[in-house]
Amino acid sequence: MIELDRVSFTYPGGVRAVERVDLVLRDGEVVALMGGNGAGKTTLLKLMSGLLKPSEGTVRIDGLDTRRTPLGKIARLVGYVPQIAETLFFLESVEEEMLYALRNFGMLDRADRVVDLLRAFGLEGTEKRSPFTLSGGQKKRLSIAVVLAWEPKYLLLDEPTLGQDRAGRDAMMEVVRRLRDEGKTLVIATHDVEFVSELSPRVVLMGRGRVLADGRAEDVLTDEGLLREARVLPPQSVVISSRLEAMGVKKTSSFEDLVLQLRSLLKSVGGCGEPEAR
Amino acid sequence: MMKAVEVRGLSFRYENSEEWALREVDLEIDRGELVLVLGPTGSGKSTFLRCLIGLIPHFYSGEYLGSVRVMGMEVASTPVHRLATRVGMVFQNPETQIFSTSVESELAFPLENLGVPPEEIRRRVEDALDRFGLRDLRRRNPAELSGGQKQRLAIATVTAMGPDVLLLDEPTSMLDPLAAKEVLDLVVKICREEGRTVLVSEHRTDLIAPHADRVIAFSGGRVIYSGDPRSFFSELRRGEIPVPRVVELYWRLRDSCRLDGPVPLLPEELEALISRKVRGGVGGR
Amino acid sequence: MSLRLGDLLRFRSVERGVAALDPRVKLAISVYLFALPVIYDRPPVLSLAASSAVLLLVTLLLATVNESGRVLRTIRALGPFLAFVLLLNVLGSLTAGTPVLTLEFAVINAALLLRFIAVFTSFSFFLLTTSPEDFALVLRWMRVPYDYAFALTASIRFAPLFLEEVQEVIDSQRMRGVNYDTRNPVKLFRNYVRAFVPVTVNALRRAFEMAEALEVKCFGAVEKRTSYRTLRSRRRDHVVLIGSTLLFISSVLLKFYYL
Repeated sequence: MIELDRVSFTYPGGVRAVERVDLVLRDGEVVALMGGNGAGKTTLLKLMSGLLKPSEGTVRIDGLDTRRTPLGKIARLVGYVPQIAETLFFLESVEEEMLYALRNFGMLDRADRVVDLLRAFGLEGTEKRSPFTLSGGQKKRLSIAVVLAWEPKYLLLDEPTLGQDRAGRDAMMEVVRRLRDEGKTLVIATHDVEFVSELSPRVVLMGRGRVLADGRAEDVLTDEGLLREARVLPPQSVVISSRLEAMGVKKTSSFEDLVLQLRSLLKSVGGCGEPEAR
Repeated sequence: MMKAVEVRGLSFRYENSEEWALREVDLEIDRGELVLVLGPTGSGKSTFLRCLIGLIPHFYSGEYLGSVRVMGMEVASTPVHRLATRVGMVFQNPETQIFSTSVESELAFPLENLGVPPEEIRRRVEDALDRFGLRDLRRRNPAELSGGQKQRLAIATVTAMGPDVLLLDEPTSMLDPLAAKEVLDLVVKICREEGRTVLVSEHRTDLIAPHADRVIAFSGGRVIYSGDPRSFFSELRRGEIPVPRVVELYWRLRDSCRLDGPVPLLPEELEALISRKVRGGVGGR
Repeated sequence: MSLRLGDLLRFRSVERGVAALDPRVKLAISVYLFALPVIYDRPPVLSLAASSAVLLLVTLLLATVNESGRVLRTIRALGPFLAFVLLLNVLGSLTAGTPVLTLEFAVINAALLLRFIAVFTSFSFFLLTTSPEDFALVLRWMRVPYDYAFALTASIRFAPLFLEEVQEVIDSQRMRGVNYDTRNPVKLFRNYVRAFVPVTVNALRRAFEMAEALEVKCFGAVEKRTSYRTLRSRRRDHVVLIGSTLLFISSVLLKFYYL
């Protein structure tokens, strides 16, 4: 469990990035931290990882106070995947990168996991290659694989879909879904509303360092006023379903749900029947 | 009338590369068009844009075949700084294309490089500050600006050089959705109100596809489509090419229902389509 | 470490007071402040007095932009280095046989250390109150080729970014079990070196992006580059310049006369 108890954080320059946040994340939960630029998402993520210590309040990970526990101990429990994958890589081969943390944590007995992990991330056969020769999408996936090597209980992802094309985002969605199914606790800081609406996790919406909303994606992403306050654009499903409310469509953030609703609406007016002949 | 862009048989392979980044590209773009360039990473979009501004072949070496003419100038035989007064380019990373420590200095920077007289620089800087809403930020350090503001500055700086053609290489990929919208709205405005030809390479099709006059789609270094956006989105394309959500929805519905009318590119168009159907009632037309 | 260094590179833009003087005048003053402790090197008591005077002046100047504590903070930051120099002197004296626990020794070394600090902080006012652009204009005025002036302002512009990135890399390393809190200097050094590769790779990638942007902004297009802003000195700049130059010259003459 990750507990944030009245946590505030002020950067040395005086910027108050996080303001009295109370949050509890249970094991196995998938949470999306959302908000516009400067809302405090990355700061909160770093507070959860122990990289930053709160100016006020306490951050506890499985009961360990981040202020009183050496970072090495916390790092075993919390995997932090930075925004820019390249910040991680410096070794000669993909294999070396995967083993690096295991060496540092004294866990080399887990080395056989490396091959399985690489396969799971579509990086089979890249073991001996230099990480710098991988494509953008591969690097992103490798950065997650590298962090998963030591099987941390919690995984913190900072903008996993940033700068990715369609294929990259789809691959990332698959990765995240699989991790969720495996019961990993995930915290994803992102402004990619479409990604979040598809994943439909618990959403913690932030604005100016405060938590503005904390609930199901369905509920948070359909509240346009709230999203506006947080400087976040609603997902297209919400925009479209809002427009069709007059026709009895229920506002929804789920694309699939919207498809179903519209299908049944069209069927009900008899406009459907045989699928169009191709 | 002179075309903004004329490309004939363009093929390019980067030095030390086995693959051809561009293969036999043939296309034309009229002046004043807003062009959306689509394609997955590595499909040749960025390479193509660099060929239009002369970074290829002047900055990047490799094997270059075919010809590219922009605003009547043959790119391969015109130095980049001469091309840069007719063609401007804005890049993906807001940080690495800004060099000054104040907004107004940044606006002046390319003009100083060109040896423009100080009076003229002053005039253009003041003009740019107004047109792009940067007046209140004029003395600020660009490092303190938000991502969206930085890109706005980058666009303003390049526009101040007075180019007829503006190229933008994934300008919003590092921005949050709100900033992305601001930047793309600005891009549309530049095209419509100032009559410039604009080419944007983008993944966020929802925000820009409805405004495009033309779509150019790349795949594996080839142009697989160049023409009207609606016709492009009418043919179902799976996988690689990003498609506005509205279009995706339209296609999912068409699997089981007949929908009359052109493919919608905006939520309001989809709304109109469906309400017509609902009002039309029974009888499946 | 990273944040304090970044602090150094940020300048304050001021419209009034001493800080608003023509940067060339500020530069001249800095040169005088730099030269005085160097010229007043003997005898130790005089040197001590001169260095103290310079430090006082620097502090007063910095006080006009609310940075009066900077000198003390710099001394604290330099602490280990100063202690090291002192240690060397002590050892040197001991091996040479000269007495160490005397007033004379104390005064000589105090003068030495204070002179060092004075010289070190002499340019801080200039750097803190001069924008990189103005700095570049000063360099151009001194006929330094534009490329060098640009290299300087670009470094200043991008340094904070670079430092942020170093921090990001170190953070990532720490989360992979690398210990940056170790007391072992060898291990600590090695760990910092490990951070070096990703930082360099990223820097190179960024250098490429910058080069493209510069091409597109016609960098180097024309021999005779024009300037949006020019340095303009006003009467008070001339007054201050003449005044401080006279003070400086008289101080120098005083020294040689006194000697």
